[in-house]
Amino acid sequence: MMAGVPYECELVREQLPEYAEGTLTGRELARVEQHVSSCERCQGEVADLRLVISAVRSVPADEVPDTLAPRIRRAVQQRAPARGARLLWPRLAIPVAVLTGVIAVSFALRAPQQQFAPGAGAIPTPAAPELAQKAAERGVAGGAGGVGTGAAAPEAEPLPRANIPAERSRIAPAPMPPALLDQAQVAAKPELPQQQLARAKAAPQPAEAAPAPAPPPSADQMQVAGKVEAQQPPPQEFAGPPVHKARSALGQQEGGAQGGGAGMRPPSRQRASGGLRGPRGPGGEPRSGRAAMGPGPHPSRPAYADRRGLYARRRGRERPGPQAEEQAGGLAAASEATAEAAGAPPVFARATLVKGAGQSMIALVVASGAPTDTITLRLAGGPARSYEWRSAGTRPATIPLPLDKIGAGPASVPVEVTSSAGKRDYILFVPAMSRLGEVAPSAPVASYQAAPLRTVLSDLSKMTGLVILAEEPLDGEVKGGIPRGTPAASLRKLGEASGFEVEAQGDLVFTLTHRR
Amino acid sequence: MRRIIRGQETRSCPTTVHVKEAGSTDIGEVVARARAGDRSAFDILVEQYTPRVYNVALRITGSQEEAQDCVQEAFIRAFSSLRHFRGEAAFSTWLYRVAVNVANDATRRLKSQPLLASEMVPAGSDDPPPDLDMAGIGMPEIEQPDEQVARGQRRDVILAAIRSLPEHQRAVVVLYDLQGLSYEEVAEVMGTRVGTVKSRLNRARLALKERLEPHLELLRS
Repeated sequence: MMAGVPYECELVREQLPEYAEGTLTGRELARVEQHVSSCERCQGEVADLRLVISAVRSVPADEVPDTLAPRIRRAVQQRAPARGARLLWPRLAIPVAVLTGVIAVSFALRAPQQQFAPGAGAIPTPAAPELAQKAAERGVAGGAGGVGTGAAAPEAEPLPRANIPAERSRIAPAPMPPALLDQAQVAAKPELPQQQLARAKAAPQPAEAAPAPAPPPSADQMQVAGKVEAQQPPPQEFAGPPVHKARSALGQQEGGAQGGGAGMRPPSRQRASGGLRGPRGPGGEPRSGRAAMGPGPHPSRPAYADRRGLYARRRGRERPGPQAEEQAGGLAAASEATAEAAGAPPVFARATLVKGAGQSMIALVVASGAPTDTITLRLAGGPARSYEWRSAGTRPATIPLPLDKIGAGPASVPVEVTSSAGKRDYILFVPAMSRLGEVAPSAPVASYQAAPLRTVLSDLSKMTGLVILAEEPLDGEVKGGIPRGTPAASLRKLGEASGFEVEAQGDLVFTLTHRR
Repeated sequence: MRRIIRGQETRSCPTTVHVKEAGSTDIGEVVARARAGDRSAFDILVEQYTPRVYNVALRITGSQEEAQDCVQEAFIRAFSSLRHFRGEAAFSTWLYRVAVNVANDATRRLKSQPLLASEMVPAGSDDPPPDLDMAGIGMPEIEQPDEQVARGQRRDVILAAIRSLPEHQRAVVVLYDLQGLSYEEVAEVMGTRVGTVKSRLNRARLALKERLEPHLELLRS
């Protein structure tokens, strides 16, 4: 509600544009007309609206550059091949992908171990990642089953994707690293240091996820990677509770915020992105990504992280250039860079996550002040794990963190967040159910959209007991789920309080649009 | 023969969209030929629809270069997936949908470019973020005698205000007010219901009024 607007005016305010335009009909028209006729304020508003509508419509169309139509014709001719040739490949893509995958798997199983980067899982042919990417784009990533030779498909044509935003978050979230999955399965078992070291050496190379061709790491490189892992700091004690706003149960956890860093893995050992290859089993063998991820919040759909990884690849392919290169090779490069600096990454936030009953997902919202950055969230307490994301751009972005992947650990998990850029102008939110902590940065924050975002997420959490499953970058819209039956008025109130416009889209989905 | 798909009588500035030029062949036939793989038929569609698609993309992205790229991409996508077009909707509506999606994608990409430090707002500040799109346009110089300049300023201010709208509101305003589509057509393009279109349009106009409040004098001139 606008400040100072009388209640009666507020009731008709939304209909005023239609009234001003003259398209309002029926009872609504009578209601609005009755009010406007007796309200000078609304009469003025109607007059202004008429002026604005008329002014908007008076904007003339721009002349089309003469060169545009010929340019389009040329582009269509070059990029869209003859239809007959085009229709053949979609039919062949899946069988070819499956066949190629089977061949590659059997080759991988028979070939000497040194033919492959440990854990890389991809036949180190320069074309493999690109082909796998195409296979993934055709929806046959699962068929490739983790082998980087998904499909020998031809150049894919861009198709309209009405419901799939091509430009998703600037952060390509890493899926559950295989090592992490392994740990989740054996979380109850304490691990010996030797086992950790051995597993570290078998962990996948981050380069595997980069679509750009990457040579297999040499023995030296592997050794260096092993050293980095071996040089991980000893179990780290988290510096107490952190800078967080306690929410109900949060306070209970503070005493036990001991980092079980023994098993903590450096970011360089994490898989950089999903969507192409499934995670690997304990022996490094490829597994189906979905099966490995376990039941997620959307069982019928690809894992969220997988989908986002896929989009990142699409983006990289469709828009070649510096940005695409960054997307294509950035994950691996960032992982390596972080590994080099693994000794002392700047920690800008610490907190304790408290898992609530029935809670399935945390969404971390990060507003980064650095143009590019690698953000690492380390979970300690129980089996320690790291999650790593590469961000580009300073807009807030959302990081999904499925709690069932943390599930084997204790109820409260100390976390540390580090940044490869060494920047401290971040905001990190952990919006979730009532028993989840909210993390605040440990340093002064200067970040775009920070305040309204904080408000909206916090209010939303309080009001609905909601875990926000944001699937869009927060540069405009946040999509989330709300419990069925949440009154529309509550949402509206939330929007008014937060600086976001809230639009309910059915029972369970809403959109928050940032007002600027 | 000219066929007019829209021209709403209730509107003060009805806009017509001609899908068939005088003396030309039926657009449905052209689409059918293009679907059958006839490139020359598709070229006719390109000639016919480029101006409208370009203006939609231009109003959404706010950049001529970006709009041209979007139009090109929209036509390539349209050509590639023409076989999926079943003719239930008007071809123009279908093409608009493709174009709006492409333009929205481009806008998101542009938005996600790093911001300048000066564009950032310290946390905790009660002031709303600066309206980036309005920044740099400057207040109109009322004493400027040249009507042409004033008209240009008016146009710039209005377009900046439109660009500052949230994505779905911006698209509705562009399609309804600038392209002259009906509620039903806009709903079809946006893949939503007419009620939603009306609601978005109302909100968009209220937001536009708010943004243009300081420039009302200029708009009246």
